[in-house]
Amino acid sequence: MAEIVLEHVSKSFGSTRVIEDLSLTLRSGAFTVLLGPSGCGKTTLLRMIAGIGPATSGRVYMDGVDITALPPGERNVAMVFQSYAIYPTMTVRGNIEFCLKNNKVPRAERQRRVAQVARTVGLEDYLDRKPSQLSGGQRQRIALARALVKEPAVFLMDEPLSNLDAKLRTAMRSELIQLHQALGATFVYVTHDQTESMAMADHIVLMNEGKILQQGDPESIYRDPDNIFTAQFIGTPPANILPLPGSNFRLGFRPEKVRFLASEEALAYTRPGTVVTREMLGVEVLYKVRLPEGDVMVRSACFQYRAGDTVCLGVAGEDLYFFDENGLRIRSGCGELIRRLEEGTL
Amino acid sequence: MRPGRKLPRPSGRKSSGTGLVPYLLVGPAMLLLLIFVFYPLVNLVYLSFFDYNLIREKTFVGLKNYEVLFFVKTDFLDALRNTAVYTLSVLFFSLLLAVLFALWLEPDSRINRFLQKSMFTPYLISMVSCAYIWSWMYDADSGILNAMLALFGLPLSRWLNDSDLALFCVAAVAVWKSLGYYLIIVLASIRSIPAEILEAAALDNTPPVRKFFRITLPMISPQLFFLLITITISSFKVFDVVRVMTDGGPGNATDVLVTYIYRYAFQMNARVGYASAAGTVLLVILMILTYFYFQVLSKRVHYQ
Repeated sequence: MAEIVLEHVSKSFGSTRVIEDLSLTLRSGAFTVLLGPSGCGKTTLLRMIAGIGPATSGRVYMDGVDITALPPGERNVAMVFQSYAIYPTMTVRGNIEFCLKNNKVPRAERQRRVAQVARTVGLEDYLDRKPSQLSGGQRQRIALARALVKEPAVFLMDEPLSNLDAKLRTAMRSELIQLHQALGATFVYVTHDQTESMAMADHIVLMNEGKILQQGDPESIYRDPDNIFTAQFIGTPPANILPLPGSNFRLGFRPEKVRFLASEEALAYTRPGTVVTREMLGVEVLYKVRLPEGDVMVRSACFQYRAGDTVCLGVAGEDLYFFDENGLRIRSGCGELIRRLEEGTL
Repeated sequence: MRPGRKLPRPSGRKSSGTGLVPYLLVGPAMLLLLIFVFYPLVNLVYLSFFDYNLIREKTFVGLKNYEVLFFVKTDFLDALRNTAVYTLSVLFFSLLLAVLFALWLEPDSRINRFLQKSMFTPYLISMVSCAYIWSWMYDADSGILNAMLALFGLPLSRWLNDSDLALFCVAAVAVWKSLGYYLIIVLASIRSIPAEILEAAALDNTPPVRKFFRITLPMISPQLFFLLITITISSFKVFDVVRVMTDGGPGNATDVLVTYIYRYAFQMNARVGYASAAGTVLLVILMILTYFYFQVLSKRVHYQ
């Protein structure tokens, strides 16, 4: 367990600034997910913590100790790479115990720790095989075992599940959650998959273009987005964003908050529309509805509508988000905006 | 596919019935191979059982040529030993220097790119030119090497005229000439090691020497293995550099298999049968070496 603090870190590659003056605290023992589209700097941040891609400026602390200049091998961290980065010339056992040998761990203890870790990840029967003889999922486990055997204070994971097929990915996801619960170590997990982040994180740090746009627990990030980017990045399908005629503001709402209204009903935001497409998901249906202001996605348990039907949609006032011209959430004065919406003066 | 329906044939495989077309297609290539490779090979082995000087009738002598080669004369065994020493020196220094230079030039910078290209230049020059240039540099009276030794007040060397040193002097030229080529191959393979693997090694707290022997070296072993075979084979067949620089001398100190064969076949009364026997021995050695390398060493080499 260890707390990681990044203080005013920046990173440039040549003349390209990837991260500029970013500060972040990663809680000890938490499962923190760095989330964002590719190129947002999340992996760069992870590599700074690992020490393999040092920050151009700024400082990194672990439990209050400045580790900015410490070489990667002397930081108490382990990393699982997206490509696994397994040593192809060594056996599975060789891969797992390589770090222990480098750190001159006695033979008996080495064997005990390798055996224990191999049991944890289910590789006992493959210890003497070469990685090339194993499947993608098994190689992923080697990478995981190699990190586990170090017993580090911090686990760094760079999209570790992205090379697995969907079924294996879901299985590994819950295994990683259990592992985190069992070890209680600090996990820092990088992904571009918002579903993965919602499922695993205690704390999500959402990034774009080298900046942190919002951080918090998954629920608050989902329910209470600070800006349009967060509202649209989190959730499948993402939040609907529509212009407010007669103002520079924009309006947002989650697809599942939309209700189909009978002709005489009215909510804060009420609009007529036409169903464009209908996707049957089993428990729900996903409709794409064309409104005068644009297309919106609707997630509903009402199955009766078909493409081409004319419908009336409504969203309650408390489910509406308002954003200013810069895409930032408007937190005060929303009551006034809702009243004007209901009056039809917006 | 409904049952009862025939599967369509794979495209391009019409049932012509004869099956002759493939043979016609490979025919020209096979013919060239037969004339220029198989016939000379068979003829070489055939001639090695005869006493023949290009003019007189061939007379069959059985294994007598081989008996003379191994048990009567000693110059063939000398040539064989020289060839082995030459090959081992070239192999050892080529691989060692190629790996060391590659590690040195591995970081990509302008000066390194320039150095890499400079080191490749000798490879573009003809071996005969190289051999002449180096003969001048090795010259005991007017060569630059002795001039430099004299400058620092060191004892002078007789270089190519020193029978203990001459073979290594020749080997040095061969290494110097081809090092740039070997360097490019080793450098490319070192650069192709995925960055994450080296980063993982850094995270595993790997000391530099251990990183080289446990990670870098095994990962470039396929390319080193390839160089091992090509250098060995080309060194066993060395001719031009020896012929120009020493012509086998002083005494027999730099006589190698091919200069030996050449001397007997074309200079000393054209003893073609005897030279063919020596050629056959060289052929067998190369075949055994190649087989040995592929069988034994390939198992220890990691291929990605």
